[in-house]
Amino acid sequence: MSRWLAGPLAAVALAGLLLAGCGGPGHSPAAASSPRGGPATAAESREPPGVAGFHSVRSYDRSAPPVRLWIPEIAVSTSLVRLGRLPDGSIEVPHAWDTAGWYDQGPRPGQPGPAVILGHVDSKAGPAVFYRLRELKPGDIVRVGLASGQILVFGVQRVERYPKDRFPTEAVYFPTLDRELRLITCGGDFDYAKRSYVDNIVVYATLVT
Amino acid sequence: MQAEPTSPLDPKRQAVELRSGLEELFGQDTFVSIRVVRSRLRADPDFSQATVDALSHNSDDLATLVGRVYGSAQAKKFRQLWESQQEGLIAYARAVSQHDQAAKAAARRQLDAFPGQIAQFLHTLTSGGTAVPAVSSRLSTHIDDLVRFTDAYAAGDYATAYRIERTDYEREFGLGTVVAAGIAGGPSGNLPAGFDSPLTRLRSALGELLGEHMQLVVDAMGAALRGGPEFKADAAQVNADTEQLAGAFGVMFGPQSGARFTNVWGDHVDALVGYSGAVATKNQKGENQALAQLAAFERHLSTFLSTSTDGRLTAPSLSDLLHMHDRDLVEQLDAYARGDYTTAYRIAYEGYQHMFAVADTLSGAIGPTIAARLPKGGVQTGGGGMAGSV
Repeated sequence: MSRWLAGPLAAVALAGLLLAGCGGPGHSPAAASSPRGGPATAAESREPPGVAGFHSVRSYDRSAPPVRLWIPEIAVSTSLVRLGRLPDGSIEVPHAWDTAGWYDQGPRPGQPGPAVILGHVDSKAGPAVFYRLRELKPGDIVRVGLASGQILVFGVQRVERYPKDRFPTEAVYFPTLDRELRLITCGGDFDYAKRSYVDNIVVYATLVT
Repeated sequence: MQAEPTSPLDPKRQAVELRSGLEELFGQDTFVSIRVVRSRLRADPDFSQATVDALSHNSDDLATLVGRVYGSAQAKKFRQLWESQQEGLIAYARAVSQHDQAAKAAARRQLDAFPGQIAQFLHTLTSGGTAVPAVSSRLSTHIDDLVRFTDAYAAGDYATAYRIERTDYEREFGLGTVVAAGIAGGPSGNLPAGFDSPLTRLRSALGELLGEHMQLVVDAMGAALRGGPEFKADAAQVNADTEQLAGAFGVMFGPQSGARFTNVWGDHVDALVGYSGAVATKNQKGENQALAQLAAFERHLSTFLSTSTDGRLTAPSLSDLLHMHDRDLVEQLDAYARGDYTTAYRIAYEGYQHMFAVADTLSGAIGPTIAARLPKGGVQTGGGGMAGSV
C-alpha cells in the first residue's frame, strides 16, 4: 500500500483506452515463458539473449584530481595544490598566497557532493589569489581543469559571508550528492589580536557541464 | 508510515514529507508511463491492462497527496488534468504501433497542451508559489522524452530509449522538488526549515537512486525472462545507476568504500539477473543458487553499512530491509512469469516505494556519521595586508 495513498479517489478508468489489435514489435511475456507451470514454449528452452554474458559493473568512475582553476570574472587563473586537515580539524590552507588549493579528503570537482577550494584573500602585504572572490555574482562562471585534461564548468549560485565562530559546517561541507563547488576565503574585519579575519566568504556553485 | 485516510498535510510543518512524496510519485510517473508505452508497442492486452492500472494508481496517489494539502475538489481537478497526459500518451503509442501519422499528430497536439494546463493549475493552486515556466518547461521536456522514447523503442533503438528513460526520471523527480517548494514556500517563497537541508537533500538523492534501481531492475528482469531484445540496453542503465550509487558511497565514506559497495551491489544485480535467466530456462538449481547469492548479499551489505555508520545501523535490521527488497524483486518476477501481471506490477509499485523507506533509514544513520567527520569550522585564509578593504 502506498505511503501517500490517504483515501480512495473516484476511480478513473483508462481501461477503455485499451484497444486490441494494435501492431508493432511483439514479445508477449506470457508466450515467452511460463516457468511456474503451463506448457513449455520455444522460448523456454533457450538462454535469454545477453543474460548469460551479463555482469554487473564492478567499478565506478572517479573524476581525476583538479589541477587548475579559472574565474574569468575576477581574473583568477591558478594552479591547485592538495590540502588536508589540520590538527584542530579545520581544512589546511595553501602555503602560497597566490595559489589556491582543493580539499583532497572531500569530493573531487565533478563528483557528487561539494568539492572545496580555498584561497587566501590577501597576504601580509597585498591582495592574494581570492582577493576579489566576494565580487562574484549568480551566473558567473568558474572553470576547473582536471589532471585528465577535462575542464568542468560551474555556475555561481550565491555568495555568502559567515562569522568564523558560527561557520555553517554542514551547509558548506555536507555531501548532499549534488555536483557542486565551494570556493572559500576570508572576509570582514581583521582581528589584529588574533591576526585573522573574522568572517569567511563562501561561493556556492553547481556543475553546468 | 502510511498516512491516515484523508489526513490533511500541513505544507509548512510537513514540508519534508511533502517533498519526499512528490519526488517519489512524479519520478514513478516516468516508469509507469513508459511501461504503458512498451506494452502497447508489444501488443500484449493483459500486460497493457496491468500497466495502465499501475499508471492510474500513480495518478491517484499524486492526486491524493494534492488533496491532503488542498482538499478533494482540487485533487479531482488535478487528477483530470493529469489524466490528459496519459490519454495523449496512450493515443500516441497506439498511433505509432499502427503507423497512423494523422493520429500521431493529433496525439502530439493533445500532449503539447498538457504542460501549460498543469503549470497554470499549480500556479493558481499555490497562489503563485509555483512559477508557470518552471513547471511548464520541465513537463514540456518530459513530453518530448516520452515521445522520443516511444519512437526509439518502436524503431528497436533500445539504447537510446533507455537513456531517455533515465534522463526523464531525473527530470520528473526534480519536478517533485519544484512543486513541493512552490506549495511549501507559497507566494512568499520562504521555505520551511529543513525543506532543503543537507540531510534532506542526501535522503532525496539516495531515494532517487535506490528507487531508480528498483524500477530498472524490474524491467531488466522482465526482459531477461522474455528474452526481450531490450535486455542489454536496460541492463546498461542498471549499471549506470549502480555506478552512481557507488560514487555516492565513495563520496560519503571514501573511495575504498565506494569500490567495496560496487562489488557487493554487483553481486546483488548479478543474482537477480541470474534468477531471471534460471526461471526462463526452468533451471531450478540456478534459481536456488541465485537465491543463495541474494541471501549472501543481504548479509554482506548490511555488515558493510553497519560498519560504515559506526554501528548506527544494525546489521540484522538492515538485512531485513534488504531482504524485503530482494523478495519484492523475486516475487514480481515470479508473478510476471506466470502471467499474473497485475500482481507483478503491484509488487513492483510497492517495491519502488519501499526503496524510499530504505533511503530514510540509510540517510538517518549516514547523516550523523558523516556530520561527525566533517572539517571543523572556518578557514584562516588571509594575512591582513588588505585589512579595511576586504
